[in-house]
Amino acid sequence: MTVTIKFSVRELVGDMRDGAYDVPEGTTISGLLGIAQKEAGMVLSEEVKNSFVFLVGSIPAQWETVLNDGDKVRVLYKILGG
Amino acid sequence: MARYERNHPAISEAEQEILAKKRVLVAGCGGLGGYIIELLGRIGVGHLTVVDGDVFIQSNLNRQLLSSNDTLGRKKPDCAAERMRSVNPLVSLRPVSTFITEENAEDLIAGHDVVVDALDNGPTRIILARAARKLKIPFVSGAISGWRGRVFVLMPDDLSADFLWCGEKGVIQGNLCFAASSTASVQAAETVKLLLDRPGLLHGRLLEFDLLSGQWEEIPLDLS
Repeated sequence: MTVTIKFSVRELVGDMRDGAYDVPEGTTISGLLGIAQKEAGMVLSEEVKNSFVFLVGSIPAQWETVLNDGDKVRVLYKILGG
Repeated sequence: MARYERNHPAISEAEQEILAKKRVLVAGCGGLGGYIIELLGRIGVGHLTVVDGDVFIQSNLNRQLLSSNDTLGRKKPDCAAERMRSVNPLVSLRPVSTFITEENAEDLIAGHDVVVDALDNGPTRIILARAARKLKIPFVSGAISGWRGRVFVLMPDDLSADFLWCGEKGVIQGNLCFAASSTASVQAAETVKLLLDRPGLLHGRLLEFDLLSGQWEEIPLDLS
């Protein structure tokens, strides 16, 4: 199946690309990011991963959310300051 | 009234009178809160409750409007009250020097028309948003990180937005003054729109902006 991903904070994800990824049925957001990291030849630090919050379309999602064909994953960044 | 002359006609004189009767709680008197309090006071929101358990320290000076060499060590809400007496004595400002907790959140926000999130951490945002939802008070959330800001409005019927605030902090990028003032300005505008029942709320969407790249983006957010 094909899903797309868009990262809000480019400087945290280096060469991990925005766009479409072909992934197996049943892939989770965690799996998708694993595929994206592998393609980019990088490993995200725990600190960076802790910064992420997710939307699938406009719906809040989690690392373990199972994706469906056509899903658009938005990787936002945790913004907490004031 | 001459004081509010330049508010018109963007807001009407009738709306000006409405604002004078409204009650807003601003949670936090720091980077966001200082500007939000200033703006809501200047536009004429009649009753402000401002809540913060902190005093001003050196690291606040880069961005917190109410901080200065003269206010270091002083309670933030008290400084807000002093500033408002000078800026707009028509505003009734109640300073509350306490930290928001699960035990006091509902009592603090009861009786207000809008709650404004000017906090600096996830757990307290969760507490405050839940209290606002329980008491059916609209919640104007704002937050900053580095060059970035994010604003959105939670209405009482919305599901939880905790996913934006829970868990570990993640990467710390600092807090720049213009991110604070820009985010606070949007929050103040959203607050006034709520108070005046004006359209165009940032509801059902996040506004995120990056002042470094110059990008402003609306991101759909479905909490229905």
